[in-house]
This record gives sequence, structure tokens and C-alpha cells, in this order.
Amino acid sequence: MASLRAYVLTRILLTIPMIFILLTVVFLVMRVLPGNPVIAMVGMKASEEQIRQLMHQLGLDKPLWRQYLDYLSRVLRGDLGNSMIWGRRPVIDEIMDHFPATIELTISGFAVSVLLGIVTGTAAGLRRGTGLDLAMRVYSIVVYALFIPWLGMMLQYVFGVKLGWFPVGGRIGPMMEPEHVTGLYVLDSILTLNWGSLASALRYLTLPSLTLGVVLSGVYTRLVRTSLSEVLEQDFIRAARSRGVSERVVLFRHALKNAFIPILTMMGLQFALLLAGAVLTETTFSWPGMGTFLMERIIYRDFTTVQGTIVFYALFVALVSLVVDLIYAYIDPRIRY
Amino acid sequence: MGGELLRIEDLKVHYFTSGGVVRAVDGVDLEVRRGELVGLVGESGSGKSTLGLAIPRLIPPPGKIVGGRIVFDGLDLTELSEERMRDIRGRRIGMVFQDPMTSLDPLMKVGDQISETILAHEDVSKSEARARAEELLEAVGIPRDRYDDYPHQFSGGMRQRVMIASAIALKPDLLIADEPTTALDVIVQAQILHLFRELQRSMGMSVILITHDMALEMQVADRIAVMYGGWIVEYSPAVAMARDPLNPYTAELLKAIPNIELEDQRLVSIPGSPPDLRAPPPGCRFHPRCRRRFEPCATEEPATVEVDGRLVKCHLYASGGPDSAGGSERGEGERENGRG
Repeated sequence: MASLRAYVLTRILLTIPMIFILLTVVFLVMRVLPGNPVIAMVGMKASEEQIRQLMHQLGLDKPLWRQYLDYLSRVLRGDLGNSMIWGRRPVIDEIMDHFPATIELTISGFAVSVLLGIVTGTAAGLRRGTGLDLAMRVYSIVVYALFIPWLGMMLQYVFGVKLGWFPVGGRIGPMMEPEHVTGLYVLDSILTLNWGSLASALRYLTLPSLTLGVVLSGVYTRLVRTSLSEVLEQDFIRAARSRGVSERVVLFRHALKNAFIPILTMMGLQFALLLAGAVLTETTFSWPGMGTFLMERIIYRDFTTVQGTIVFYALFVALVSLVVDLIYAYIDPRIRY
Repeated sequence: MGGELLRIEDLKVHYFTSGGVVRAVDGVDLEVRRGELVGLVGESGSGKSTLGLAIPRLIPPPGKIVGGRIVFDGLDLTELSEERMRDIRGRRIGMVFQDPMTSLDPLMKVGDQISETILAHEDVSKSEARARAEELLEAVGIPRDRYDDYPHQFSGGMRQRVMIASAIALKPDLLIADEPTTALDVIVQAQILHLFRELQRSMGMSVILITHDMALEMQVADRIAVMYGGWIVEYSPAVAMARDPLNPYTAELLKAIPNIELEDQRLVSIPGSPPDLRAPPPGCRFHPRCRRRFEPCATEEPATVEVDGRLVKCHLYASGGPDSAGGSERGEGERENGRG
């Protein structure tokens, strides 16, 4: 297992240059954009003196290279700094306020996409060349091409406005917030045995996670279909049948497990897309997560918060892809690090 | 040698492809006795693997059994429900396939792939199945502590041993081995064949050994069925076949075995190529390549006739042939062949 530790360590070290490059790019892009947090906050009518004073307070009057080095040295010490607008709260606190909402949406969107993908892909893979197969393939292309805000608005219109089954925005009903444990409302409601909150949280979660999940499921449909039909033609499937095991066992124990390996790779790759999709979903459904928050802070040119959020996203994606690699090694005995 | 275990009657297996109907097995009769090792030889595309897969009804689509009967221990397998057929697979009929590198599930412990056979048919605990699988591993010459290894940690020969252990786990009456040694090197081939014989004798199993290697069959088989173009063209005891092949095709196959004792020997091959089974030649399917063809061969399908207790499908032996006595000039068989 020493090699496993070395592998994990290498992967972690490799994220450092990645973060550095990303940070530099975000730093520069934010400065190139017209406007700055002071103007955004006090508006054009503020006096010269007022603006100069605020600029000085935020360190924005220093030369750019100086600001860059200051920021870098602070990040190296693990400090993402403070927000540049009202309240000037620590960036990490702001992120932590919004992160659970995003995680909740991401996990449920992910679950919906994988579940839909496996069901549709398995149906197609088991009945290749039939009408069902064709229908599933059309499904995969159509949903892949959908634009998240468009699908979100359609679902809002049909299930929210017309049928009134689900709310069209927000994260939970008024006064329904469960006691804070993890910040994930569904989980917290279960942990505190608060069934009213659970029902409310799930109702609010349904449309956003469907929107995100459906759009991302198309990739899995195609992948599961191809992978499964390839595996089903392998010799070891025939060998399993020759032992007299049932078709159910052949499908679940042998075929799907083997077909799952390329799907797992795709899950790791799709995770970044999932987070990006979550930003669009959040803005469509006024979901109070990182996406909504990030959009707002970009508009306010809150340099430190935007930089910090992007670094946080990057670290998170790197962590997930590392975890996926470790799961991969766990499932496939041929892979050892 | 015991009584009859398997009797195949007029079996037809066709593949319905977009390029036409491939008549891979086209009216085959074969009988296997208890405790007997029957060799099934033929070139690639002769239908031998299809025949092997048809017995436990494992023909993959677009293939289909379109006619005939497979009577196994009194049961017509072609009429059984899928559920009852599954009960026979693994328990009463075991199979070993050609490529041990791909016939084991790469994500499953080798030992579990042996237990799988036991658990599919018997209501035993996992630990008991494991104990029995460990014994089976030892029986095929693998230390029992390798139960938890994965296939990629095994060599080809060891994987084939695992396949064999999994196929014989429930002491089936019939073991069908489809080219079990083709993918292995010669030394391992001999070891595996030896293992087959040993297990077959100690367990009293019947074995159908499918291969394209006539020399190999001559060493191990009790009786040999020769397939050509979806037919069995000769079915004879191995010794008799080696001494005196009845069908001209068998004779050609025997001639093609290189003999180390003859110096300066050229490799012999049969001119022409095997028939296209989507549109087989009329009459006898071997006639375009046969040196001894005469006028009915190109037009009439030969009947299978019995000659000295051996079966042959050839016009030479039909009553009214050029010499219905069986051919005084069956000279091709006089050459000492095969054995040794």
C-alpha cells in the first residue's frame, strides 16, 4: 500500500501547479474586465475622495504585480482573504454558506443522470437493433443537446405553473429549514427526524435535479449501451451462462459490473460539467448555491471572492477525480497504483 | 464403456445473418456413450463449435436450432424450457472454451468463478461452496490459497485449469471442451490434455473434445467424428480411423499430419477451400475438393451408411457405388499415421 500513498501524494502535488495557473488566469481576467468592486458598491456618483479611500482600504491602489504577489502569498498560507464588498466577510465563510446547497443539487442531479443513463442504456444495450434501442439513442442525443435554462423553464412552466406540483424556485419552504448539521437539507432533515422539512426539501429539489440530471444523462445512455453490448459478447459471459447461472446474475454480476468501468471514468470526467451545469440550474431556479453566488459576485467585481471560489471549485474537482481513480482501482483488480 | 448418454438426431443449426442463412450444422447425427471421449474434428467453419454450443443450447443470436433432436439421458434438450435447460447447464453438462484469457470474468476472483457453478445449482452456504472450490483447485493442480487471486494474476494454462475446475465442479455427465488447448503453448497443451484424461477416467465423464487438430484427437479420443461443411462425414473409433479412414476427406486430414519419422517430408494440404455455408455446393459438400469423386457426387447428397460398425457419409459406400464393398483401394489409410 506504500505505492498507493505515493500515488495519492503525487496526485495532490500535481494539483499545486494547476491551482497556480488557474489562479493567475482568474486574477488577470478579473482585472481586465471593466469596473471594480468600489464602483460597483458606491456607484458612479460617489466623490473622488471616497473612491480613493476605499481603493486604498482594499489595496487596489497598489501596482498590479504587488497585488498579485500579496494575494499569492496569502493563498499559500491557506488564506483566501476577505470579500471586497459589503461586510467584507472571509471568503471561506461565504463559500461555506453556499457550498452545501450546491452539493445537494449536484449529488441529486448526478444520481438522476446516472440512474436515467443506466436504465435507458441497459434497455438499449440488451435490445440492440430494436425500436426501443433506436428510441433510447434518440433520447440520448436530444437531451444532450438541450440547454439547461430552457429545460428548467419548461419544467417550471409545466409542473410548477400549470400543474402546481412543485415550486419553481428556492431551496425549501418558508420556516421549514431543518436544524443545521451538515447544511444538506435532505440529510439534516433525516438526521433530525424532521419529516416536514424532508418533504419540503425534496419538493424543492425535484425540478432542479431533474433538469440537471436529464441533460447530463444522455452521455451515460450512449456509454452504457455501447459498453454493455460489448461486454455481453465477451467469452466470460458465455462461460457464466454455461455454468447455469440465471440471466439476472449474468447481467448484474458479470455484465453490468464490467460495463461499469468505462462509465466510472466518464463519471469522473463529467463531474466538472456537472458543476458547470449546476451554475446554470441554480440561476434558473434561484437556488441559493455557489452558482448563484458566483454570478452575483462576478457582477460586483468582488475580486477576492471570485478568485477564492474558483480555486475552491478546482480543488473540489481535483479531489473528486482522485476519489474516482481510487474507486476504479477498488473495482478493477487489474489496476494497482 | 457404458450405455448411450447423448444422441443427436438430424440436428440443424442455422445463423440468420444479413448476408444470408448460414447452415453451420446441417443435419447431424451423433451418439456419445457414457465414459467415452469423443473427438470432433474439422477445419474452421466446419460447424464443430456450433455443434458444441448447440448441445447446452448456448447458440448466440442470430443463430437458431431449426430442426432435429438432442436427446441427453432420455431428455430432448430442444424441447426443454429455458429454466430447465439452465438447471442442466453446469450441473449435468459442463463447458470449457477455447480462450482461457477471455473466458474468465476479469473482475471476479478465480475461486468465486468455480463456486459460482456450485451456488447456481446447490443450496449450500458460501463457505461450503468455497471449501469445495478450493478442493477443485487442488484437483486441477492449483494451490488452494490462490482462491482469492484474480484472472490477470494467472497464466493461460492456469486459467484453463480454473475453467476446467469450474466446468467439472458438479461432476457433470458430459463435458464439452471447445478447442481447450488451442490458445496454449505445446507443453501446457500436453499438461491440460493429461488433466482431461485423468479427470475423465476418475469421474467417468463423457467428453466431447472439439479441435481442428487431428493429431491431438488421435492421441486422446476413443471415437472421432469428422465434420465438413456442417455435416459429420465420418464417425469411427480412433484406432480404426487412423489405420483405415473411410471418407476421402478423413484420409486427406490424416495425410496432413506431419510425421517426424519421415525425412524430407513436405507439408500436405487439401487443395481448395471449405464450402461457403450460405450456399453450399450441391450434392456432396466435399466433392469440389475430392480426388475420388464420381458422377453422383456433384448432384446427390450422400446418405450416412454403416460400414463395420463405423459411420460414413460418402457415395463410395452407398450401395451401387463404383465398388460398394468399401473400396479395395482405400490405400490412403495404409500409411502409419497419427499415434505416437
